[in-house]
Amino acid sequence: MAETDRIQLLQGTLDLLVLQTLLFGPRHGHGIATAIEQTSEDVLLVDHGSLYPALQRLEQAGLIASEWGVSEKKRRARFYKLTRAGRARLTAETGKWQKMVRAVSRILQAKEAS
Amino acid sequence: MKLRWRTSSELDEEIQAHIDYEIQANLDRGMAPEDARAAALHKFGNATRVKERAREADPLFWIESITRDLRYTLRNLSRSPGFTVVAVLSLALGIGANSAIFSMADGLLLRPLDVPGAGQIVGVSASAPQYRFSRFSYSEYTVYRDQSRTLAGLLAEENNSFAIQPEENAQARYVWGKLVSGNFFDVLGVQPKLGRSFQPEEDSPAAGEIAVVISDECWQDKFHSDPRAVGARIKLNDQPAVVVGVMPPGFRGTEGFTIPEVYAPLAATPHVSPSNTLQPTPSAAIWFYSAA
Repeated sequence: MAETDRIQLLQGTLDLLVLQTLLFGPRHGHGIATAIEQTSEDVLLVDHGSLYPALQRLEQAGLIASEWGVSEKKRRARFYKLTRAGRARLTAETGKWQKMVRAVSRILQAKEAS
Repeated sequence: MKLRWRTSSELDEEIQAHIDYEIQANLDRGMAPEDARAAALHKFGNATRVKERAREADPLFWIESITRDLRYTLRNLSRSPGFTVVAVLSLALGIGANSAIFSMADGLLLRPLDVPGAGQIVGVSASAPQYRFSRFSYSEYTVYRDQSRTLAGLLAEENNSFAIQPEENAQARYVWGKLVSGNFFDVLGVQPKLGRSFQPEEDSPAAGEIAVVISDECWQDKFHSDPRAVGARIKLNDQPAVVVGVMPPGFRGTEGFTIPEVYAPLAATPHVSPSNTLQPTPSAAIWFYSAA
């Protein structure tokens, strides 16, 4: 896919996507970034740098936890996993997101009332 | 909420690992090594800015930042000891002078006198062309005292230093005290905890032995808290005197700053302080006690 067709993430959606990605098990930072890009079939462009402040923020909020481990390539890496609170937040935020997507879509598709 | 202090080096390591993964992924896609590295760095963005933002998200970030600042400061100061000494000394002197002046102002101006009806006590000074705060002569004092109708009482006092000998031939101790008018304690409304205050005839030229009232501190320090101190024959500036009363702890009269240890009647001035002539030169500071 050409770079120009890719979409910059909406403000505030990175946290939600990080939580969703961790639903399938612990990952390190690079793993999270690539998972988001691949799952979105490379439509979403993750600014890799912005991932780390987000991870720090989520961890301070108690939504994720982290510990050092060894990656599949035998390299030391910090792995992040979803906490119970993170799981609950993900459910709530996903519900809100879907509501908003439906509402925005309805408005964009509305025909003039006859 | 979990507080965990992630060190800078941990974050550095994590970010370095991330970039290495990306380089490897790029190589796997068939990129040339230099391109793989450049692309990975470009994709990550400004690593320094990322580290700053990540650290700011840490609630304990400021500890690391302050520690670093302190260490930097100390290193620089130790490099120029002359400047450091001068700076520390000027700070110390400045702070010391300030607190000294403040405690003086606090005692003299801000803290109320520790006597009943402190709010109704006023100090009075004479004003002459040469001296803004001049004092009254004793004869002026007696006129005001006897003829004032607006004031409940009018006392006069004069600071004086004394050599006190608790017994006839004991070692003399030098203390700070006051020569006061006979109504001093009555006007202030504080009575001795032991013995009595002055009687009218004790502050008159006809008085015999000098009557002395001492502070609680003086009683503890010079008379070993002996209840028999009342009635004790002592020597005050080498003159025979008798202790008639001991004031309660903390009584400081009209003083905010020091605690006078000895009070003697103004009438004893010619005996205990011959160089101080009450008349005709101005000598006694006067405090009015105004009626409510």
